[in-house]
Amino acid sequence: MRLKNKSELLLETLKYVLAFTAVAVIGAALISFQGAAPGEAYAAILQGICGSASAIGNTIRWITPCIFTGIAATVAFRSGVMNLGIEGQLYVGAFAATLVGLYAELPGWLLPLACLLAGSLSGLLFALIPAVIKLVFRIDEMITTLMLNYVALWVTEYFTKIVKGASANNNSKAMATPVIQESAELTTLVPRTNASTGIFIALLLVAVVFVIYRFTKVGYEMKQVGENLRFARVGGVRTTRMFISIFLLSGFIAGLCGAVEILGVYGKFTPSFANNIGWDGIMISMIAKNSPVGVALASMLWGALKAGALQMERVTSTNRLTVELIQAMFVLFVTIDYRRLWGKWKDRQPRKRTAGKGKEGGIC
Amino acid sequence: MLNTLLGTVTLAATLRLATPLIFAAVGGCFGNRAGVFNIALESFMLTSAFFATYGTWLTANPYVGVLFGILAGVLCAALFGLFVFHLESDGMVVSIAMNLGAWGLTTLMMVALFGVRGSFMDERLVSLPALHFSILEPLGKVNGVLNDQNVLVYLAFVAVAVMWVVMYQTPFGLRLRGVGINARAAQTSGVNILAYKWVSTIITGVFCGVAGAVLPIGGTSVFAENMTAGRGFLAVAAILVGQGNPLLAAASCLLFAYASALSVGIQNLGIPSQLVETLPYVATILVLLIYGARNLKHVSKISR
Repeated sequence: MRLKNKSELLLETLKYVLAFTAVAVIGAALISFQGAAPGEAYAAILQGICGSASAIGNTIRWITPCIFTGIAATVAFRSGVMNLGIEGQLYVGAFAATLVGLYAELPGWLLPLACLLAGSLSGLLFALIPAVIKLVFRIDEMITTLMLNYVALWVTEYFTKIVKGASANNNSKAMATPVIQESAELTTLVPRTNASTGIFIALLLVAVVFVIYRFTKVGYEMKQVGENLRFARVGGVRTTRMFISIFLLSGFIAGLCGAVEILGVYGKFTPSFANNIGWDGIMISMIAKNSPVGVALASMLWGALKAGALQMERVTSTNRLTVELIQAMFVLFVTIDYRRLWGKWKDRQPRKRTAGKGKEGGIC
Repeated sequence: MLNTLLGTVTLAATLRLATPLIFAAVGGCFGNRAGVFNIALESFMLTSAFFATYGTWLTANPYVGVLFGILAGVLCAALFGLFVFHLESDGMVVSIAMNLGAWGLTTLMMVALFGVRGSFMDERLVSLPALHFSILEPLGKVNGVLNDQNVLVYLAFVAVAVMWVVMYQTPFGLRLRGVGINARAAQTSGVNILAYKWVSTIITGVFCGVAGAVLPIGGTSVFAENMTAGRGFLAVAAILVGQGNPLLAAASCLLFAYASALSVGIQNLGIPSQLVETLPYVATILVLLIYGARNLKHVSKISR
């Protein structure tokens, strides 16, 4: 997202302000619909975001996975790789990290490092499946990743049951692996919260991706492939190799996210623990228009809202899913193409534009 | 084992489980053929499932429930169309936001209107009646599979036939396919592209509305949080496999439903339920692989 001039910056800011106001109003309606006072609920959200040290800790806790999945989505979508399987890759990564955290005997900082590596590499391997299917069979990665999400969900639950052994019953809500070794856990930043050093890994990741995109040839090629595939190919970019590396990188980051969630927050693997955080990443990436710094900023908003929503549910009678709904609406409002809309408004020609952009071509 | 694979119970369950998939896929074929990128079927279905529950609960009449479901499906489709066709949003973004939003919306409304979390059961939540054809009675196994299913199961197959005719035997269908194949050419020959995209999206909404209604009142009489559980995505996969042809898409739906139906039987054989649950999704991928096998000759070209 390069802003060319001042008026463009103004337009962008205006867009976010407008969208935010709109959802705040709709949100207020939703909250009063549930019999709570909107002012009170919003105050509770604010309090949940930064009202106390532990509130800030919880906000950091939620920002962390948002950044990871947001970057995982950005890396893929910016280059036209439609990886909708972040959720599944995250589960696989989380489970692998748990296994290493449970059974590996390594000294000192080697153990968490091994967990992180195991998580991210498993995410990478799980992303390899749809990538290969796309290359060999030419099947749209979008549909295979969607299906594999469910496969990952159930298979990790199955393995959880195995790890737990005979005592496991089939109730997935009660089922979880044992807690990982204490030396594997990431250091807690704010006492008595789940804010961990994972946030630094996340921020480092943002910085690395930013630098790659901004200053390196590889980054330039990655962007080029997404913006103008034919030009990139003619220009000598090895698009197939690019496709597979981007896919794997995206899976790697998703797996890393799973590992950090386990090491930094949960300490054990519970089936379907992630609750759509992978999909949140895709929405964040959309809001941020696939820019790494934008992802960091949008994640702050997203994570803060998540932390605030929990507090709101505790204090008022409002369901926290209200915030989920508000977030979805925010995405809808922000991703409206205002500039083109404005252009269409200005020169209302009889010729109608083809409605709907449709799917953009994949990169191979 | 054979009894599990081809037993009456399994086959009857296949038809029952295929019904929501078939409705959603047949409707989705129209959007697909008109070149509308839509993976929001999941949200259309979930919202419809909720409102079908609500309508049935209000009136204790499942047919009113189906109407409510259709209405909800159309409203979802209208929302989708508004954003994608008029506000210039990206179809994928709108889809994803709607899928997540529908989960929040239905759960919220469930708490607000029924006062429960998780799942909702009530004696006023009446399912659609099963139809009994006495003609089929002497046919033994066929009778067991086909007879005594609920109304929508039979209607699903009628819908496939009707919509196939609409798509391939009417001027409307021809123009609709034309819009998808080459929008500019269609426009040049006087087809109003936007109108066709809108109509196809609304058709998708109507059918997803019925598909959603099948879930709570097609026999189980229960509404559960996130009840669709990926069925909308399975329908999208079926559309893809069937290349937008209602007949082929419905055939894939039957296959996916068979995989789900098997999972009930296989579970009794001692195979872990979690692995069995993956069957429909794995089956989808396998079907896609078979469908994609014709692309294998390109493999040698993958060099760079």
